[in-house]
Amino acid sequence: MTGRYRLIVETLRLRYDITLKRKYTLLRGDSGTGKSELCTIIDRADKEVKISCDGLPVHILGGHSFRGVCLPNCLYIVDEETINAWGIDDFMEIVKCTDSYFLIISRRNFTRLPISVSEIYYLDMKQYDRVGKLVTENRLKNRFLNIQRDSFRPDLIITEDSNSGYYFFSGITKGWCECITANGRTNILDKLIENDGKYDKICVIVDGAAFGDCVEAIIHYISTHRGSDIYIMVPESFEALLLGINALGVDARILEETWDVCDIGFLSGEFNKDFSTYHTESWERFYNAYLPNLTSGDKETEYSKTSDLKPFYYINRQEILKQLPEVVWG
Amino acid sequence: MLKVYIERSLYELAGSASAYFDYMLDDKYIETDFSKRVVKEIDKSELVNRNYVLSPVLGSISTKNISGGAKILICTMYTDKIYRASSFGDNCFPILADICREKDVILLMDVSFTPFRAGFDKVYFIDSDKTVYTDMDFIKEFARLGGHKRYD
Repeated sequence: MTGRYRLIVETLRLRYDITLKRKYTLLRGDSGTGKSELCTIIDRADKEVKISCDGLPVHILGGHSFRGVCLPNCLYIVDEETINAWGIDDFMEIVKCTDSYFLIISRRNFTRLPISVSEIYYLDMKQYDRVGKLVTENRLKNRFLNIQRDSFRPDLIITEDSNSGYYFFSGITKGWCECITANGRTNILDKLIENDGKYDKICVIVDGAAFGDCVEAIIHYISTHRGSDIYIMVPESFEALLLGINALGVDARILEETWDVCDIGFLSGEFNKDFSTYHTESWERFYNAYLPNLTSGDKETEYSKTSDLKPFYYINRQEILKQLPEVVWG
Repeated sequence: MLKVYIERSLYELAGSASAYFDYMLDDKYIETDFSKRVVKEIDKSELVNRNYVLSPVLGSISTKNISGGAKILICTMYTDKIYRASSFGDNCFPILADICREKDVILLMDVSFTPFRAGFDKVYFIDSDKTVYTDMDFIKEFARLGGHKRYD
């Protein structure tokens, strides 16, 4: 399923306004801010309550007895009570096998789901619009942006990636900055703790498209530690950075409207091959599939995640690095 | 005191706090000063009696319609059930800290948080038999035990 959909639910006293553009979106926030009420309103609502989602059918996923299969091309809203009642394995099985979007109301860390740091919304009781209605607000990504407002020159870079991304950043920082890999997103916190205080400025580069489950622990650490200055860079993925090189001639939609193309059908049409074994439930996976196929067979630009990059990418490194503008490279 | 654990098999988690509150919790616990405080601070509402709450956002509602966070705090106060940390909103932790000054509370630490900023005095990690007194030490011990890597 592709597309960007704006869910608006409005009653006399409440107004929810959330834009969904990936398979998984999380809704969190303090207790008592109306998260569960969203499910109740939709579950009970009829034509008297305003519910719109750009034509997408909206359903509540729930009930202790439900163990069925979800319909495709819908928005399902699921509350934490349902997830706890079903058990996480049953929940995972259903969401992964369904080509629909999911708005998940939960503070749990879904380590088996690719949650983007951009798609964690917080319902904030303090936010009222002009007519006095409680509205939603996305403030997680803003929390990141507030941490690193000024330019900085790192002494240590920690990459989530241990393959091409690590090769690239360690290559371009040779001689002026240390570069290590965490070998996976769940090890980022461990590497931060291990190196904190040993370097003046630590820059962490992660794939924002699937880092959502790790982000809060990192935020808690940064907010409580005393040591190095820590900066977290969250590009969608390393492959997304590479796709930003003009010379590759990538269709602007790939990066600017990924919600419209993040689909096996699009890939099949684009490259005229079978992509049925691929998963595009996250933008990271989509870019991982798109870039190698885009450059396949081209001696100059051919990309493989597990090898070092062709010289082409180092020659065009400024176009990669300008997408991380806060960092002073060299 | 707050006692936390990471290894899932150590304790059996309680079922739904909402269900317990709605159907099993003795009414005498609902009209207490503590419960009224919880509803006031978490839901910004007035618990008038065991059946009726006045909410500035939802209007007149049943006690069954108070937030999940309010219900789980009340259940935590008046039972010995074990819940997930992720079941509590950030705004619940100051009240939970007060509960922990009166009795021991055990939580499955399935997410991280900053307990000392919320008002806790100390936190005991059951897995490692270690007590911590700062948020920094809490997150370090949480990470050392792999709390951030566990999945259910």
